[in-house]
Amino acid sequence: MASTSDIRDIMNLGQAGPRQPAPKKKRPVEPQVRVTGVKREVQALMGDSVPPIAIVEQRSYKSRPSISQKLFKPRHWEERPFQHGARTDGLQLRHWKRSVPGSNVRQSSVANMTASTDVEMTDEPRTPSGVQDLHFEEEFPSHKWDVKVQVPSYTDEQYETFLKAEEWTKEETDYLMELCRQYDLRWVIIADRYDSDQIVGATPPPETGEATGTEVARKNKYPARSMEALKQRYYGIAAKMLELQIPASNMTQAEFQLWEKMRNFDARTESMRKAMAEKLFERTKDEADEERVLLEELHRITKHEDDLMKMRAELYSRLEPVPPLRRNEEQSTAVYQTSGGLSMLLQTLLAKEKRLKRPPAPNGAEAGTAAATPTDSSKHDKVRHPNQYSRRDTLDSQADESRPQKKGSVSQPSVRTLSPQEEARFGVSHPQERLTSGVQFRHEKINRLMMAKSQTQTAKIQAALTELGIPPRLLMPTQRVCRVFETLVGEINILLDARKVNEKIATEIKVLEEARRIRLGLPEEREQNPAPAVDAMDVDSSHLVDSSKIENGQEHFTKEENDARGDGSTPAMKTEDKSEHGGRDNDETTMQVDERPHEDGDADADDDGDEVGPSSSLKPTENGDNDEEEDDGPEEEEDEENDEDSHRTVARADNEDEDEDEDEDEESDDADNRPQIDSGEDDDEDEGTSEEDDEAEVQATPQDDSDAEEEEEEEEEERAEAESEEDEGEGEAEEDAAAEQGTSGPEADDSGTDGAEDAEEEEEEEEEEVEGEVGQDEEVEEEEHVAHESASAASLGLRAHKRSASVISAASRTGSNRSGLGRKKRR
Amino acid sequence: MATALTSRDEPKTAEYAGDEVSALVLDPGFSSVRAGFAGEDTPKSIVPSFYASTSSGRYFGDHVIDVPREDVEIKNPINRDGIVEDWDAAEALWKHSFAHKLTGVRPNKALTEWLNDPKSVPDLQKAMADAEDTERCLEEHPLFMTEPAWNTAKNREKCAEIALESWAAPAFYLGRTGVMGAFAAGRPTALVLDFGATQVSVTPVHDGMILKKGVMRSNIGGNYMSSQVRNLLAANEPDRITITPHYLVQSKQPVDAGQPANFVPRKFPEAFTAPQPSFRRYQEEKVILEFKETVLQAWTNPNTPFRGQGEVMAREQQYAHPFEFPDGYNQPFSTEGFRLVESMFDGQCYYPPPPGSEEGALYPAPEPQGTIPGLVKASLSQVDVDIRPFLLGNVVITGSGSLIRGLPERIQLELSKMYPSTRVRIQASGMAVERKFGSWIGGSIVASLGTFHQMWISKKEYEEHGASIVEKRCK
Repeated sequence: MASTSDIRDIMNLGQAGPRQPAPKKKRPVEPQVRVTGVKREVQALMGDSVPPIAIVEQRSYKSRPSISQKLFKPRHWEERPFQHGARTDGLQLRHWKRSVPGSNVRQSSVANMTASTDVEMTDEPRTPSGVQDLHFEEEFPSHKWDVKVQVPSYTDEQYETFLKAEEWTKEETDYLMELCRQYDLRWVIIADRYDSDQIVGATPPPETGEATGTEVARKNKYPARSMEALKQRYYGIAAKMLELQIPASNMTQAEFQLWEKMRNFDARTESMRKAMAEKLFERTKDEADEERVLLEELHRITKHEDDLMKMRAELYSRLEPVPPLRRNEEQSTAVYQTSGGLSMLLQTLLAKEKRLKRPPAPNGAEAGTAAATPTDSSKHDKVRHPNQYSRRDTLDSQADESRPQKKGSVSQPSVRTLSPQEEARFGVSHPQERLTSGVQFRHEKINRLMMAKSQTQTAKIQAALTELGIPPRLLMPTQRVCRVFETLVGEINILLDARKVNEKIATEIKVLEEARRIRLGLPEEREQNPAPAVDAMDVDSSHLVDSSKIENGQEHFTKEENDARGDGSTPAMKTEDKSEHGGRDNDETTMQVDERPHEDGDADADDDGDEVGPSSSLKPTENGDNDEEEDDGPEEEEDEENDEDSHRTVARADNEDEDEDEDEDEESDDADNRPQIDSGEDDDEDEGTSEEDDEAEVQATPQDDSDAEEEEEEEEEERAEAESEEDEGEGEAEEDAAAEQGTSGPEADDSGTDGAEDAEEEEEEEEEEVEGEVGQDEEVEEEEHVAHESASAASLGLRAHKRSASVISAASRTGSNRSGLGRKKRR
Repeated sequence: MATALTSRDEPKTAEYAGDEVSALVLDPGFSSVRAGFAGEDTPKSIVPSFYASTSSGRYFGDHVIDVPREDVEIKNPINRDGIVEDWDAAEALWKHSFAHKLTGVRPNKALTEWLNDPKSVPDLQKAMADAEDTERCLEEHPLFMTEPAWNTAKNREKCAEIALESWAAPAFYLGRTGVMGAFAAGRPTALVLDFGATQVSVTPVHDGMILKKGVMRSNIGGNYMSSQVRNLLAANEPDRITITPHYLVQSKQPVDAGQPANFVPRKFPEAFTAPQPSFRRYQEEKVILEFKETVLQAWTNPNTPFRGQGEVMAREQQYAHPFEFPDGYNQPFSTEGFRLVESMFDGQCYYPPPPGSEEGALYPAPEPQGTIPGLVKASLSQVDVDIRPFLLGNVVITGSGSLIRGLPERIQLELSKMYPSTRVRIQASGMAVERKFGSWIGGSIVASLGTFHQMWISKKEYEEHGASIVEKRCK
């Protein structure tokens, strides 16, 4: 109920009588029982507590503004004219500006700051002191945004001298530059607006004046231009003008870069890029989807690459020889030659397979999966390893042939006759030689081959193999690989023997030299510079130069290094200095040198044409020698040989008057020895050659089944082999090759492996180290001397010389092969 | 920006690079003329471009022209390409659009004070000059006008002449509708799809400038759609639907869907000369506009094409929109609404006109290159390949014609299908006002920018260089 006081209140009238006491009475507060364990807010709701909203009695409903009317003044706004800073035509626009009375302390500082510009901006400062503009124009300076791109301009002379282009007329160029200026080098727009019809009209007045006469004719003349053409023209001009303004040497970094960029603009590349971008842009949905799928696939592959690599590494580690397995195998192939042994093997293999958790793919006959077709097994052939337990294919043709048949009996009842291609593919062979019964491993045969020699010899062979990058145990001992490997080992043996002989001769010569020196009573100059290289060279020069001219040896050395073939002619000029003996000798050598070209030619002819001819003709004589020397014991151990040699040399050293003729005789004896030693390998070599023939056949058939890498490896080996094979029986070529290998490969290999080698051998290595190619040539020369009495021997030497070149290339190829192997290993 | 802005706070210049010089923005179109002050977010004055022409003169304005006057004819100064044809009417119309509501007419002393008191005229010559001055309605406002991208050079010069000479504006500028649409969406580089009344145009805009070679247009705009609605109604089964405009209906009784209308036609006095057919047509167009707003819908199912399978699906009840005509006749429309829109994308969905009507000649079925995807494709093919992805990433849809339900989604679908290799992004404002007045809003933004003021063609420049300066400046 509204009381009178309420009405009075509403009407804002004064109190009629004494003010009534406030209706609100203070209730006695009852002491509340504190309830514990309840939140304060919840407690507040209980009982007759006060409502959360504070009821405040309001006397007056409208409060006066807190700021007194004196202080509060509305801001003054004014519409003021202004000129835009970027305009030149004096256009006056008007905008509203807030002005602040000068008395306003808060804003005065701002106003003062802006005062100067305001005066400038406004034409008629209507409020000189009191009212000033706020900062507005300063924050938005029109000139700051009024920027223009620098487009180069040129005079007529400049255009005539520097900027003329065949495809562009001056009018077109002017029009282009005008567009560039107009559109601030926004090429998209320039290309869009470039209208060849407008060219004359768009050119600056002087040009239009010239052009008006032929306007009609020219309108059609100007071709439409692509953006790239426009860009090229402009950049060409801009670069030229920049260059004219600032020479390239004076440009700053940025300028130079710009200049370079502009100069190197190629419209063709750019349009090609555009074309490609367009193709990309206009891909259909399918193409886009395909790309997306491919990208996903790629992503997936790259993501799982590590896993894949790991799996692959695991596979390779399995292919690597496993020591315990190997020991077992080597011990006990004989065990498996009975049926009981075979079944035992099968059991162990199965157990092993389980243990290794191999996938249950058919592993050939041993695994007992009869359902495996020949094709399946052949697939496994590819990844087979010599000592892998899943190995099935052996040299034993009986076993080989019977197995496919056995398998065939399940899948296909009739016996399949295999075509030669298929035979090659499945590894079926029909060897002529007698075979032992039972299981045999190819690598065993190989091992036997390697073990045949003495310990040192084996070590050397292994060193040679390491050098070639061939593991001592073949990774994939297929029939072909084995065959080639055998040949290779044979070659290595020959080379090693040849090297030995060479060393022997070298030592002998040295001894003789020494003997002669002593005989002539010369000072021991030589010993003061006993560098092995010099020694090696002196061996050579001793044939030609008198020992009194020893100091020339150095010269010779250097000369020979440069031109090994010239070594014969250089001493020839110093004939008068030599002793009669030496002179004669020298004459002979020079003669030989002269002859060389012809003989080279012959050798070439031989090489190219009938290569077998000379070698075969040589063979009988060598064999003859062989026979003669056989008494000495063809299977002589190296050490024995060396001992013998040293005995001989000592004996010869006693004889001071010994001539070089005699020396040569001795050497020829040694040369005779050589083939004899070679004969130790004859069997293998013969086998090798016969197999090589087979291999040639195999090679003629397509090798789709064999691994590509394997193939490469093989082929490269074969190539090297095939070349040296031609000269089989000729020790010289092999000797050269050995020397070549010695130089091409790091010496560390040899020294590392041959820890137990004789002192002589070490010496030999030292020699090899320094010999290089010169040494090789010198050896050839040596050979020539050795055999200079018999024409056949001489030609042999030359042949060998010729061969050395081919061996070099072969060696380089093996080198590349090695790198290939290395790659394989990495994987 | 935690504190709320009050009217006292001046915006920081970093946010607002504006400098308002009370410029007027005039955005004339075929269906309406939008006018307002630069810096505002919507035009203050929207006047239909149609005007009533009677023997006594022209009538402008929304309600004025709806009155059925004697022998009234409805005209439009703009032709079906969106280009001004009747300059006199256009000038008057445009002047009406801003002078009527925005700038006001200057007090003419000759009319107000001296008319009945010739003695108080101090100087007749001066009085005459003053009277002429009233014509100079824009003396204090620079005028920013928009024009379609395909406007002719002659028309542009004419615009400048009217603004600077007749209306005495201190400065003038002509902006392209496409660019303004892009600015309204806040993008300097965009592919603008402008759905106007006469034309649907595709304008590639790069750095605030149109790429002339890429401008493509087709007359599948609002008028085409109206023509399609007419064709549809004429081909309606079982009876053709005739539109009785509101002004002919006295009263009506509700009827069931599909039943004949029950209405009392309006009676005109005996001596009343009926309005010209154009008046009725204009009134019918108003009904059709309503129909379009109610019924039209774009087919946005990405999996099924409309033609064939979709057409059957669209018969379902959920898509049906009932529409009641002024005479009370009503009928639900479902698949028709989709098909009408579909004809902008697929020429085979075109409703053929009834025999004997001129609709077919005026609005033929769109060619494949005249459909919306065709236009975009043709436009992009004229543009440098490097900026195509940018353009497709900024497809701006503007114009009242684009207010059809689902149209932006449909365009997105079409373009994504056409260009799977790039991402297509449609910029279509959700607010109808922003799309309706897109080009005006863009003009409002541009004309209030501080940096823009150096672009104005001032009166002085116009006098110095002549009308050709328009071509040079407004590129």
